[in-house]
Amino acid sequence: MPVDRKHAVRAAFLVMFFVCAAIAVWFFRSSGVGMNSGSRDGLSMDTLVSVLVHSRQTPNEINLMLDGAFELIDGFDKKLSMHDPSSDVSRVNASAGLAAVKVAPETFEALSSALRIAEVSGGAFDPSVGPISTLWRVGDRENPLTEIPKADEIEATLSLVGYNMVSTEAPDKIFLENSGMKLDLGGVAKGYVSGEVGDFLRANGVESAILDLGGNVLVVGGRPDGEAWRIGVQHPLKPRGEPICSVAIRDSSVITAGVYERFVEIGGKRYAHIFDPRAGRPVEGNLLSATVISDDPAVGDALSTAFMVMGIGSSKELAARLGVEAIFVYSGEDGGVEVTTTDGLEGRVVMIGNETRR
Amino acid sequence: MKLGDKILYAGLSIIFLISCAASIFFLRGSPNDGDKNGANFTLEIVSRGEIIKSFDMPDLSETESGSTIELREGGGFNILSIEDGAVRMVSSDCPGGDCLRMPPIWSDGRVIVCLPHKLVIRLRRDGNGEVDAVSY
Repeated sequence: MPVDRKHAVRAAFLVMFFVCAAIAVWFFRSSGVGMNSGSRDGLSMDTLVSVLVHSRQTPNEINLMLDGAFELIDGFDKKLSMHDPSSDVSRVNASAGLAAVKVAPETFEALSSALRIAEVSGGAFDPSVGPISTLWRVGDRENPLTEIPKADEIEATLSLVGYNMVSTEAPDKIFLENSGMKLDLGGVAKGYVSGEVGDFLRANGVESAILDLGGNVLVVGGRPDGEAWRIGVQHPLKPRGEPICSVAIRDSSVITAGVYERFVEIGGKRYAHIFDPRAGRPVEGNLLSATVISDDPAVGDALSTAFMVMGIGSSKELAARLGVEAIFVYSGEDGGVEVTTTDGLEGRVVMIGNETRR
Repeated sequence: MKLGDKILYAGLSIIFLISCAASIFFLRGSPNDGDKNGANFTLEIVSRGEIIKSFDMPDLSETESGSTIELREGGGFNILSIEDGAVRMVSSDCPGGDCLRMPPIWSDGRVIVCLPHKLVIRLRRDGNGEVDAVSY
């Protein structure tokens, strides 16, 4: 056999071999052979946390990784909580108007995300909203308000709210410029933490996982069967866990802010837990929930709150500007619940039930 | 080329062909897979944009394999057959008969269209909370 023909035959077989190998690898991966899974539910950050992981690691390794994930979440909670007096946030608040406080890099990063969204939303989201929540006695079940705060009280409180009075000095110093100011990272903390946990799982080689941090859902990769994850958006009038629609995502997060979830009741009237930081009052109007789909869950968390304040029209514009997608659930003119989404979700959202999508 | 080499090359060729055939088979999927979550489907018959009939696929599958649905729309007839969870157009008097050549459908959102009779046959996954998590 001439030499070059021999080479040609060899080359042909080499190509065949690689095609075979590629097919074998593809088949192995898509079949889920060798995949293990592990899940864990627990309480952290004052909410229910559940993590489901599919990985090629051994069940024991997956267990250790889940330990690590929960330790991570608890660690973040200790830094970002408003209730824990030793947290970074509490220490910053205690030094309001007095001195800059050195915080953990994670706290600084979470605040930076919050300030960025405060800026692009024109203050519709504001991490310095603390004094307003305190005025309306959010979370104070034993001693709720009997009537809504007076206009001059609200006015006085508003002078203590403003993201431009929060100064930061990289890499780790935060200063609230006026005494009485109060940082509240509740609108960004869960999103930020879920992003960090997602990065932790990826760094540990996880290709498929789903993390639910009190309704903030983050997914790593797609489902183990190769399909996209399908994440539901809570129906505002139905029990927890019943979705109004679902969206298909990979490597992304779905975060919802809604007026149905938590509220304060004053004189028999329900007020949403979400405040317009510029008005000092709870949001009103027909918007029931805003859901943000973003690969940066800290941004998604802060934006979902901002969207509740901004309303559908300007929210869609901002979403387009920032390159995120959003789903809005609102009460329509005939009293029914309706859904509208950003254009980019065309074909990715499936309605569940009979509600109208516009 | 030695005899051993020939056998080796022949063996490799056979493995190559088999794996190509296998991957084509798996890429196409099979009707019996249905949906991987075991979701239920509704078969919808749409005429001029309106759903005129719908069938639960589990009900159809429970009947004898090879059950058929006869439709009289758009001035002609179409006959669908349901076999192992897959829907196929088996007969029609439409001009051209393009619908007869469309591949069978068995998953969410797939359609068979008969343009002359203004018919769309589509499968929809039943949306009873088939989600992996709910954001609230």
